[in-house]
Amino acid sequence: MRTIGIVDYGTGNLGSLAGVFESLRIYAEVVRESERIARPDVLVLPGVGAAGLAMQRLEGSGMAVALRERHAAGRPILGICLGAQLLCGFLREGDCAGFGWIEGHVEPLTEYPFYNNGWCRLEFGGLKSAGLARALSATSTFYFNHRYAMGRDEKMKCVEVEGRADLPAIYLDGVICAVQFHPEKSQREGRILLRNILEDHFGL
Amino acid sequence: MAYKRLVGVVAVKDGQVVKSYGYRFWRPAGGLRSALMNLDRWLVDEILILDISRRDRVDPGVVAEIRASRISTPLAYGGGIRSPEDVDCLLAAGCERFVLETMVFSFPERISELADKVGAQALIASMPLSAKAGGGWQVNVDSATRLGISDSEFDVGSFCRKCNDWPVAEVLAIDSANEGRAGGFSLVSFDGKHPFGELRKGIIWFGGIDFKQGARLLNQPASVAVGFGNLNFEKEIAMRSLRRFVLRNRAGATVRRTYGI
Repeated sequence: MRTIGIVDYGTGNLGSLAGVFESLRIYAEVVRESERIARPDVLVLPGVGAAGLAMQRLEGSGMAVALRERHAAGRPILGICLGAQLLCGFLREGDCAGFGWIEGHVEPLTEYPFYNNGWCRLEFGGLKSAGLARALSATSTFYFNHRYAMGRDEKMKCVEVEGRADLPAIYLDGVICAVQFHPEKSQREGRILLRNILEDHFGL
Repeated sequence: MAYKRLVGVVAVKDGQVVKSYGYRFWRPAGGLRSALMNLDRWLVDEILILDISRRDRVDPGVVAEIRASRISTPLAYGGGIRSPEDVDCLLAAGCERFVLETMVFSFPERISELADKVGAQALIASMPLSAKAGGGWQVNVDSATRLGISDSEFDVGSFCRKCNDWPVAEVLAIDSANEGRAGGFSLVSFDGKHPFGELRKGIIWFGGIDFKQGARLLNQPASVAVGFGNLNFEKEIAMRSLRRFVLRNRAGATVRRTYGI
């Protein structure tokens, strides 16, 4: 049986994620110990929380070391919202280093209203070339809720927010997929995108 | 950037969904789980649960119902949040945004503590307003009086300045007296003037808003969302009708098109 592991670092929205994986008929288990990080076929770093505290907890529990080992072994990792930002090089919120698998700093949004809360479309061409567009359309919308945004990484495939070349929504390579928004809170289209990530990108 | 949002507001008292009128009168309106599941099916942009029981803690029964609903619509919660532990249990149940009311008046120092834990994007300051006798508006917080804080009248301007400084993403502006009275909303005169000129945060409007007012409010530059409460228990698939109305009449493309609309 293929399994998903959801990392519990104290502030993630575990209930929402468990619910969406259940609706996709995928077995998901919560991971709280570093020795269980390597086991699941796909490991999810969930969103909702503050970056400094999240990194502190991952480092303090030993899970950060296990995550680095998992990445080095080429085992899939899906980061969602804050979980995606933790994969970047530097986190302005908390002034600390992230895992560094995505280049660039995570910096605060500088335009009023300084938060991106609500539903946005994605650049559909980018979604198609990333291989994630199955059963989605150019009008599909996804729920964002963030104050800090990931920086640029030219080496990775990137899907941007429609009309916002400065706002990466998804970064992906063979090992990681970093999603700035909340697919688990994006209703039907979010579930479809999660399925596409797991099946089409990670081959689950 | 993001589309403006149509928010389904669910008032809860003692664990039961109620139709509320000015937060002073209410009628039972069914169970929380089914209310959440219906709004989820109707593809509202966000659901806001307001527990008006005036407890000093989050109701575990409400948390259990949220957890059991397993919805995939963004979920905000307000009522009885006093500590990071309250937020922990709501987060685990499926909420990702938190409305702070008593805390912003009584324990503002705790807002930063919460923001350090869940991030400022997850926090909303509640601003219940009532008309002043001589005209204008005042921030009106029953809970402040209940907690023994003598000055329950707050100047709107100074409250807005505080909101600008607090680590909160948005402000929930509530027309307290007209809450539940469709078409009674009166905080905005629709000539572009409202009492929150100094506010530099996005505003979620709530309290007695009807379809027409909702569409016009979404056109206000400071608006990020409009909340509808009792309407959801009076009209079948009300929020889908509302979305069609907004897209057809007033706000054009400012709200998203959902599946089937």
